Amino acid sequence: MRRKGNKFYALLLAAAMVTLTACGGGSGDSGTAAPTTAEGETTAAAGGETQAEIPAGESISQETDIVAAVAVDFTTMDPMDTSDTLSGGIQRMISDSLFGFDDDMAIYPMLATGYEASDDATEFTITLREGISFTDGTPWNADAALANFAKWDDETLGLKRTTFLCNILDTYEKVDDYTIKVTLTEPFGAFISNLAHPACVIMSPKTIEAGVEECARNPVGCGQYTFVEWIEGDHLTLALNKDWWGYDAEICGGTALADPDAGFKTITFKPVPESATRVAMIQSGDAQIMWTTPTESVSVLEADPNVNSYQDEGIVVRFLMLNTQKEPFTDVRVRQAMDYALNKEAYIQVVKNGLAVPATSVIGSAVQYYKGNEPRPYDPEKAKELLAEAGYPDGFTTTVMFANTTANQKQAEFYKQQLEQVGINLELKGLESAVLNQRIQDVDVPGSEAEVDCYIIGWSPSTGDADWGIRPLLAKESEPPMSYNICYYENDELEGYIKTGLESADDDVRREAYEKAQDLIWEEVPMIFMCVDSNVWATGSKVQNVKIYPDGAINMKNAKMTK
Amino acid sequence: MLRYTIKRIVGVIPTLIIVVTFVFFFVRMIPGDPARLVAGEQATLDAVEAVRVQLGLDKPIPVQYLKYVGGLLKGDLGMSLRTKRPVLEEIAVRYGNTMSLTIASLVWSTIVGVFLGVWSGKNRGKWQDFTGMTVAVSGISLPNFWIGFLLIMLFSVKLRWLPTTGAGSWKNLVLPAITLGTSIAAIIARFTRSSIVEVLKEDYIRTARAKGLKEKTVTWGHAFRNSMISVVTVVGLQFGFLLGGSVVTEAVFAYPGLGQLLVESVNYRDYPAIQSLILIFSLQFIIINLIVDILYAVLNPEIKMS
Repeated sequence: MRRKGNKFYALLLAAAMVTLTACGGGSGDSGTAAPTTAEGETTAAAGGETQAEIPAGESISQETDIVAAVAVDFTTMDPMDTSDTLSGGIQRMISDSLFGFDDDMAIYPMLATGYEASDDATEFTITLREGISFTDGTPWNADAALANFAKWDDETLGLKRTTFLCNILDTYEKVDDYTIKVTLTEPFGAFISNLAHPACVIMSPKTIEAGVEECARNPVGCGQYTFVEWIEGDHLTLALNKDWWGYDAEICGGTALADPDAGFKTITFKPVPESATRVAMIQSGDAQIMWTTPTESVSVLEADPNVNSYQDEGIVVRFLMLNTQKEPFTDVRVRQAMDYALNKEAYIQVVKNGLAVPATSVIGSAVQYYKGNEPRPYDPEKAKELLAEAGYPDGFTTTVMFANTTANQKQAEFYKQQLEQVGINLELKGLESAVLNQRIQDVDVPGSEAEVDCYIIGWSPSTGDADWGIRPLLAKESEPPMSYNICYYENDELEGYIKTGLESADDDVRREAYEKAQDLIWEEVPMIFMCVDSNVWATGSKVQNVKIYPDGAINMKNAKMTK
Repeated sequence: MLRYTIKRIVGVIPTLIIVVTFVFFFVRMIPGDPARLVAGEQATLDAVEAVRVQLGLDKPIPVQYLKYVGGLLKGDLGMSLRTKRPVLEEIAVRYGNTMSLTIASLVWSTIVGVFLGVWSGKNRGKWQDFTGMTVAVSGISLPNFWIGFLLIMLFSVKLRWLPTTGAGSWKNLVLPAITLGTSIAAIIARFTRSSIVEVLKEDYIRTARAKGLKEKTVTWGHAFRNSMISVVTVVGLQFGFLLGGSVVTEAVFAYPGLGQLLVESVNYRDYPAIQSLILIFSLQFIIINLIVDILYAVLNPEIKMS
């Protein structure tokens, strides 16, 4: 009995663990690309804007620690190896990049003061800001910039973001102490936007020299905050950097970027995966900042006098992608019919708890070169007409594939229910995200032979530039396995606009190309545009000016703690 | 006694080998490509292949297995694919947290469970028994996450006595330990009760009572002592399970323990981390079983003879 019991339990445990392992997969929102960018309107917050008064130069307590509850743990502090918005946002607090963002994510010169581009967008001369040092004392100059470029360009380091930027880097050289010249292997009009991507946050040359492990664990930059410690799974702490160059009006070229008296000294970020617990933390005062607020808790927090709840339009756009190389989606009338058949307002209420706005383009309004179009109204009759015209008077049967998260399942059921009204029978195929990647992302066949009919995806253009909102989703070169053109959409006119936008660094030329591209996409409906997610966050009523950038990263530039 | 102990320890080795092999192959059967996850979703196929070579995932599975076992013999658990730090470090950071939560939960639940069990058992069929067992059944039936949220709402949000989350001070332990220990106390209570009920039927209990011993001495000195074997078994088992980290309770209290690490590792297909965690969980179980076996022999000298 004893011996038998012994082995039995050991095996039982092993079996239990393996089972657990097998069921545990994929809570990640597959397809939502990482973070970032560009100009846009940030609509005002919903919560109470009680503006506590802080007399100039007088802080509540310089020693206070602020706790921020976040949904997931951090992965790394090396910007070039980061693919999650949370880690990227924290890196942007620790250091700055050549070009950054203002509050509305318009591109803004940070460690650079400006640039000149050649007409063909292959040569960029960047002038650097003077008078800045890293927190380890190393001066910021052309040598420091080149050390960063060299790291970005080094494929042997095996960093996640290397391919994103550095396939196009050709040479980079010092012109003088505060000027560098970068040449690209091919024209790339969105280069400056890419430099504003959080992956291109600048690190101290000393840290880079110390190796990737040091970059990942002990980042040193020249940002508004300095890195203090990171205890994995428990917390990550930053301290305000009183010597930040952004507090110095002279270095900033007139106006300081922020006021150094924030009323607190450190910020501790705590990963709290359970959303109800994050809500409890902010209600109990254990945390002063939390994001993202679970949608079902927004009304609870809005009613709490000790909490301010905010929401703001983000840049994650939700789509239903259609494989345009497979019947019946080869016919644009079928695609438009589906657009008419889906009620966007109802979708936002049912799937998003009202925390989203209807999509008006393939990119969100905060993305550079956005141009909105009038959404097609909900009109099932018109949908049926179009289907009949296209030869499907009785509708058809098709499938939708998606990563089987709760949110996706909800979306899929909504689509099924709505499309049924016009005779389209949608079969749901929810799969674990790693399996989904293998069956959709990693297949190398023409669209007509691909397994996918419809696909649920959300996309957030990580550079904040229209290029990254359109090219990976709709260019020929981006069909799987290269990128996310799961629509297998091929349109020469669109290719032309994408090329024009890429091959020029001229603002007007690029704007015109991307506006035409967006109009074309809207007419062609390679995917159904559903909504743009809102970012939802909350702070204790004593903390002010904490914002979330449209890309979902935290913005604490002007954060203040009051009594 | 020593010979018995050594024999038991040697008997553990084949179990370990089976576990190591089992885990290695099972982890590789989870669908999903770790090279793709490490390279990043937007990486090109070339980049994914480069990562695969770099991680040694391009080699045949038997070669990977030999390399893994070779590393294990040197005490090297490998490098986490997710954080690129040694797995041993990742686990070490959280091990203390899981250990303290386990001990805190187990201590209170054992004390409460034993008292509840003995009280119910010796008053079998009376109101004490019904009360005790109603409490026990409730303890088993109430889901952990529900108890956890209830405690947070009461003690953190309303009363503000205890922190909602985190680890480090005894205050952080109170709520998760109550949450985690509730069902265990209930299980221990039920085991103790049935064991006491059995023992109380024995002849030597009648003899003890006939000798005129106090009821207290009969209960604790005779009945309980002889029920200890089943109590030790169930406490040992629960100890093993708790040391594996509790996924649900850790999530509710954002407690940085091993359960969270396992879930994160599985989501990321972090083979080295998953393997090492399961190996450590198994090893813990084996060691606990060993201790329990040895305790049997201490509690009942007849056992080592058989």
